Amino acid sequence: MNKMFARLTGTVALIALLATGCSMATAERGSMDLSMPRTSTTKYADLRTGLNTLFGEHVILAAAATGAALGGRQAEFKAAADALDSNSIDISRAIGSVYDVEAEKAFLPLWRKHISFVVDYTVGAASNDKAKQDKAVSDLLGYADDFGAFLSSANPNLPKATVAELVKSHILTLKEVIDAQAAKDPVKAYTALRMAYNHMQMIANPLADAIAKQFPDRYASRP
Amino acid sequence: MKRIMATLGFLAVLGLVGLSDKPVVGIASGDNVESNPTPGASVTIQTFQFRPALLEVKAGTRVTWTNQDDILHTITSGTPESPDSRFNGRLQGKGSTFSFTFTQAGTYSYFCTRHNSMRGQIRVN
Ligand SMILES: [Cu+2]
Repeated sequence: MNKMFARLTGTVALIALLATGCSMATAERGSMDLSMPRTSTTKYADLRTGLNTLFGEHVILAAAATGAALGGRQAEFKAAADALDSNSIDISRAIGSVYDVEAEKAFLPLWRKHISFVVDYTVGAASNDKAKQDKAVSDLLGYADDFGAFLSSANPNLPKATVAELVKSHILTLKEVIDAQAAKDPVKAYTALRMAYNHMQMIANPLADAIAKQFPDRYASRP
Repeated sequence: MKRIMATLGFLAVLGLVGLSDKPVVGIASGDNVESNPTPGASVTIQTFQFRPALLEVKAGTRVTWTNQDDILHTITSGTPESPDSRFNGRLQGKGSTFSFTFTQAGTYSYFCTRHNSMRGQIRVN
């Protein structure tokens, strides 16, 4: 009994901790300005965790949207798609806070474009249209080059080819999730989702590093 | 089958979300307007933006676009909704250029066919 109580208390404490963490993350993201001057020496850490949060959220929401769509859950799909687009806007704002509002405006349609290709792929999966799926994959892989070109143009520390490869991995890991969702294999879908989620730090971390390198004065606390 | 149709319907909504990005280049805003009375004028393409997005020139000016992005952009006359085939330049990669001489007064819109949100204007006085 005691043991159980201890475990229960521990769980409650964990949930409380998690809840605190969540609300902090939300507050932080609501006004995400990665260039905001901070009095602490954690600006680089803020940048890195901020980008990781946003990119991780992107994958989770994308998978939620495709899962709901493939499962025929309309209301859930609509909510997930809206949340996904809010995340896209937040990512663009983060880019804008590092660069400028023009970069933010240029980034958003580019970012949304890959989501529209993911939609094409999911439509193909839903209707067993292999040609549509193949075209979407090809569009997505081509898009990776555009995305690489954008970031390398904004930041010389981000080689186009490197970014493109990372984006391609993002596309392929997300594709695994959608394929499993379409095959009604939740175990596989969630295993793939963990992979896809984890992969996002491969994009967020080099991006944070490159930004810190580009603006050493702003992100002086980089180790 | 019914479910597939429903799914397609939802996805169309997502498509709308994804594709609803209106032209976002602030071509009318004062901070991104450049007047250039000389015979030659230039627009730079960088980070998927035409800079300046609105260029003012005198009639007879030869405008040169230079691509600073490592990707293909086009300088296509008109708008994505109605291209008018007045000019169509392909800037294959970094450093490539395209020029066009504007002889008649008017406002000329152009865009990139690969990235429809990239839009610019040349105002010829
Ligand atoms: Cu373009």
